[in-house]
Amino acid sequence: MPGKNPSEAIREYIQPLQQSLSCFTRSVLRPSGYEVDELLLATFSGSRGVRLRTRDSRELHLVFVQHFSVRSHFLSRYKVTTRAYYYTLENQYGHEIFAFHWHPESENDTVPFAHMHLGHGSADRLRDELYDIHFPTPRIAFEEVGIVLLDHFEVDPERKDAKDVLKANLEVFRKHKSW
Amino acid sequence: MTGTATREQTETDQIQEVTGVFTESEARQLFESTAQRYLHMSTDQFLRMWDAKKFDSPEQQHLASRVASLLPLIRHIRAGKKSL
Repeated sequence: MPGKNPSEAIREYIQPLQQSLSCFTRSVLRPSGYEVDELLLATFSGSRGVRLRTRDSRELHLVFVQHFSVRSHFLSRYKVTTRAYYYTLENQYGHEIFAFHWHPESENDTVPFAHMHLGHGSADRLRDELYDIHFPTPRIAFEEVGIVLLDHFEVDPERKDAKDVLKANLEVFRKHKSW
Repeated sequence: MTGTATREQTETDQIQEVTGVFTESEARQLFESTAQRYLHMSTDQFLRMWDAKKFDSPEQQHLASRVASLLPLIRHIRAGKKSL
């Protein structure tokens, strides 16, 4: 959604993400800046992301990073464009279970397509080749990862309406996405 | 001129308050702790190796990418270093 100024555009961009993330945490998603035409990011304050609890009391960590830019839009308004995402689930030891990435402009890691990684938090011993494989995926929304967390990892949500919130925001996202 | 500067400062403060923008110090701290956690190295060490493309193994490259995902946090610091 465009905004009257860069900060309003960023608020419009962050608000639905924050709502979806509120299904899992009370932590606040924060942007790195508000300058126009710069590569900015939104993430949480901790290097381990946010802590999740499963229904059987296992500890998991969700790392959320999105890159974005604020650009001038028509009629003197500003719009946020997403430029990369990194959604990672880690186990209690900080070992990656899976990661969904899309970073077509990354400096040294130029994989042009959206992809998924499996990490050594997903198995007792991971085959060596799996570290190097970028499993191609469609470009996804965070809400899709959130639904996986609820349905398959049995993460205990922060709010009772978590599934409904994620589904509703996914619907809005699909309606407004420009790709 | 003073009035303009004051108004700009006030607007900046409001933007930071409204959107919770990382301060430079918080941004540095988050980048440093992430580099230490994943690769056991400082921000400076990471940037030297990243710029020289010296993360060789797939596993190292993968961990480096995780740290590099936060590069926009320190773009001012990095831009300053590159221009020296």
